[in-house]
Formats: sequence, C-alpha cells, structure tokens
Amino acid sequence: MRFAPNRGFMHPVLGQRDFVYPDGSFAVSMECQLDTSENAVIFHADFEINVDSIIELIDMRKAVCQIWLYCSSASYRDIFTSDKNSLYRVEGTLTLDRLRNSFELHPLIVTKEAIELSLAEADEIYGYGSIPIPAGSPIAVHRPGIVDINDDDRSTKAIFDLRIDSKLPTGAWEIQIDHNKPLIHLLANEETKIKFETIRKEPYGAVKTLFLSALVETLMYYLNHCSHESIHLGRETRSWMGVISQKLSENRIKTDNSNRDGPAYFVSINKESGLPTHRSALWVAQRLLGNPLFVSEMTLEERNNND
Amino acid sequence: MIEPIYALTDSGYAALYSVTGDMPELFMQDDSQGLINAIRQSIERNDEWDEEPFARNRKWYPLKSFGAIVDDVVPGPANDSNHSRYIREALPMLTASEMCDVRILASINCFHLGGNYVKTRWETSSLAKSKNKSDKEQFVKLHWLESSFEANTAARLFWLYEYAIRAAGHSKFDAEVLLDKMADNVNFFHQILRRRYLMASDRIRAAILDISIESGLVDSNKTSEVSKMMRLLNRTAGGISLDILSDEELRSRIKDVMPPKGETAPNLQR
Repeated sequence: MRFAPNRGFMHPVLGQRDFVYPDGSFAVSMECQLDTSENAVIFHADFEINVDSIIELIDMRKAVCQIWLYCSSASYRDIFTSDKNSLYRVEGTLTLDRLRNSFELHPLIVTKEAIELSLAEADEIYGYGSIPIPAGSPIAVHRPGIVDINDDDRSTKAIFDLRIDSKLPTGAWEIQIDHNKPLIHLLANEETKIKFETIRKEPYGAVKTLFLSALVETLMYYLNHCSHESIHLGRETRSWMGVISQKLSENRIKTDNSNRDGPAYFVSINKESGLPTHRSALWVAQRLLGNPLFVSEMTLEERNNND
Repeated sequence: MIEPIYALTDSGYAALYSVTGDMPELFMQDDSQGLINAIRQSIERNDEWDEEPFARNRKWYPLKSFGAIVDDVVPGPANDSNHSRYIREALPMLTASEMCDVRILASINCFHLGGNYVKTRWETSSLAKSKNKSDKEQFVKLHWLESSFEANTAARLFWLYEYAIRAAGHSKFDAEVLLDKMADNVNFFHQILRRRYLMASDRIRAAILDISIESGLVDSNKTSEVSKMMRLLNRTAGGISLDILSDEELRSRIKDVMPPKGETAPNLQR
C-alpha cells in the first residue's frame, strides 16, 4: 500500500517502503495456530513501532493496533483490535466453519478519530504542515500474512497439527503427543514443511506413512498409559477416545461397542503383558488414515507388474 | 427417501472437471449414473487420481427433498429468491466454509439439482445458446463446477440467503426483504458481489443494502450507477478502514457516495 492521492488523505504514512517517516519502522510478529480440537484458528500479533508521534496516538487511544482478517473464498472479514491493557498486542480466535483455503491477516494501525499527525520526525518533503487524517484511516500498514488451510485430508487433519520449528535440522521430524488434547504435533522446519506439502500431494502415501508412524506411536502411548491407569481414565484419554471412535465410525470401521470407555473399544489388551493383541495400534492407525501402507503396497505391486 | 449429499474427493472433482472437455452435454442431462460412470472411467485413466470419487465420511442429509425446486425451475433469476430460501433451509447443517467448497457445490449441482435444473436456470445466457464446444465447456464449468458466487448455481442460491440472513442482524430490514431485493435486482447484486471484500462484512453489507434500498438505487437496478457507488466507496473511504467506523459514521460514508434520489447520473467526480 502506498500513498494514493485519489483517496484524499495520506494513506498510509508508514509502511514497508519510503513513506512519510524515513527513519520509521513498523514490525509485526504474528503467530497462528490451528486448534483442531476446537475447530478454530488462534492467532496473536505483537506490534513494534519507533515513530514517537504514532506511539503517542496509540497511548492516547486516538489510534489502535488492529488485525484485519479477510477470507475471500468463504466471504468473511473481521477486525481484531488490541486490548486496552495491552495496546501493542492483538489476539483472536476464529472458527474454521467460516474459513476456506486461506485467509489474510493484515496488521494495521488505524485512527479512531480525526487527527493531525505531527511532522516532527517526518521527511522534509512533507514539511508543509501537519497531516490531517480522518477517523478510520490506516496510518501504518504491514505486509499481510497469508495462512493456508489445507483440508485435502480431513480425517488426517483432525488428528495432526503441523508446526514449524526453525531449530530443527532440515529434513528432520519430531513427533510430540499432546497429553491434554487429542492432537499429535508434527514439528518440522520451514524447508521440511515445504517438502512435506509437496510430497503430500503425491499419490504413493509417503506422508500418510509418516502420519501412520506418528499415530501408532501416540496410540501406543495411550494404550500403555491406560494399561497402567485403566481405572482412572483422565479427561485427556477420553478426548483421545472420542476422536478415535469418531474417526473409526466415519471410516465405517465396526468396533466393539460394549466397552466404550476403555482401550478395548478399539484394541484388545493382553492382561498379562499389557500389550495390544487382537487389534494392534498399527491396525487402528491404518484404518484411521485410510490404509496408507496397504495403498503403498498395492501401488508398488502395480508398479512391479507394469515393469 | 431423501438422498444424502456426498462431497466429491479431490480425485473425483478433478475427474469431473476433466469430463467437461469431452462430454459437456452429459452435465446438462438428468443422468447422474452416466456422470458417475464418466468420473470413474476418467479416474481409471489417470494414475494420479487414486481415490474413490466420493468422500464417504463427508455426507449430509438434506432436511427437504430438492424435488420441489427442481420441478419449479424457470429460465433466468425469477425463482432465485424462493429457491435460495429453500436450499438454505434444506441444508442448515452445511457451514459457510463447506458451501464454498467446490467439491460439495459440484456434487449438489450434478447429483441433486441435476442437469436440467442448472441448464434451464442459465438458459438465457449467451454461452447456453452457443453451438461452439468450447463455449459449452465454459458454460458447464461456470454453472456446475467453479467457485463463483455469481455463476455457480448451488453457491449462488445458498449465498443469496446466507448474505441476507447475516446482514439482517445489522439491518433495518428483515432477511426476507434483503433476499428479495438482491435476488430480484441482478444488476445491483452482481455489482456489489464484485467487491467481495466489502460483501464479506455483514455490517458493511447491511449498511450498503439499507442505504441502497432507501435511496432507490437497488430498484433502479442500473449497473453503471451501482458500480460507481461501490468504486467510490472503496476509493474515498478505503476498503479496510470501514470496519473501525461506528454504525453512524459508516452509514454517513456510504450516503456520501450514493447517487441522489431522482438523479440517474450523479456527479462522481471528487
């Protein structure tokens, strides 16, 4: 966004390039997470600005930090404003029912009333007096963040949360089980994530196999956890049960309804060894994820036949 | 018995899209099985499509059969208002997010509204009258498969009422009035749809509709006047900044760019 004469006012006075304040900077750090258990997107943004006259406006509540959210696919826009107790931080939660494909988060500082902006720190070429700016004008804008929502595999998405951790080496994965929610966090660094997104679209199930190992690991944790504390099923284990039961049901997998609260609902446990016997964690995980190993084997067989 | 709606899978949708080039006429017939067979054959021919055409775990049962509106279709938008209300009431379980998913919209258009409904509804368009094969392909893509709220038949019907219901919470008029005004004045509706980022706000949409109804702009149904008003609104106020204004300020901004009552060609020079 640049100054546009046809708007009739300065818009914005501070941005990414050469605006009214040559030494001004406007930085925003944003974090956005998908909370699949709540079917929601949670984000927060921290604003940093070094222009005294704009800081003064914010402190006097004449301007506010905002995130303008826009999803063109699902025709949704909303505005999130900083809290009066933390003027430079904007937080928001939004249900996924209103979003599709991707959405934009535009960080802005917007005037709440008509103001005249001081030119004490401004470039000389604008030195013809103070700048009149009407209410509701974005005076500082930042490049928007675009958040993709990939939903090409809903049963998988409901269980996994892909996060970026720059400390991880490229190509490495880390699997973390969330003990409080029915969620497995798959950590990757940015480059690995791009690779992940690329191979996810390939037909041979490589990524589903990665999901499979993560899910098996989680189910084994669950089973071991329950085998030791089978009488006191905590809330988190019931949450896991809810997700697993629902997903199995969506995939038309018949399970034993007689013991809905226990691990035997989807897997039988050998009482002596405490290990799964009849249906293994691998069996369950395969069915939750659409039999990726089976598909891979089939594909390999078909490939061999073709060769 | 009411048939459930199944979302297409990515493979199913891609296969369906590919059928438009070979057999656009197939979409215009009420031959669901023929279309399903064509999708399956297309999937079999393409190694990259490895899924079943329908996602069995994405299924919804409409509360009412679509038969009533299918039999009531006429060329053009005359019945859009009633059909929009009907579809929205039949599918309350589908979210806004789902009703812009082309895999669901295409499924509704192809297997529930059916070929005859969609073909008849858009019969007055120039593409429908063309004998050219590429025009027929384009006709099918626009009205059966792609995501435009203006042209995709199921999306258009659903979102007309959805827009009205959501705006009603901020409007002087009830949802029925807003629905009828948008559905019956397509030159007004299409122009405001083209500023999708403005339409995306319930509050801004309500204010634009209210003032346009009161000023007579909606009923004038003149493309150029509506287009100028929307362009001017965005230009002078700034598309983003409208959100922060109070209701009174927002309406004042919109009133400033409305053509005066009784004038067909307002002076829009600033």
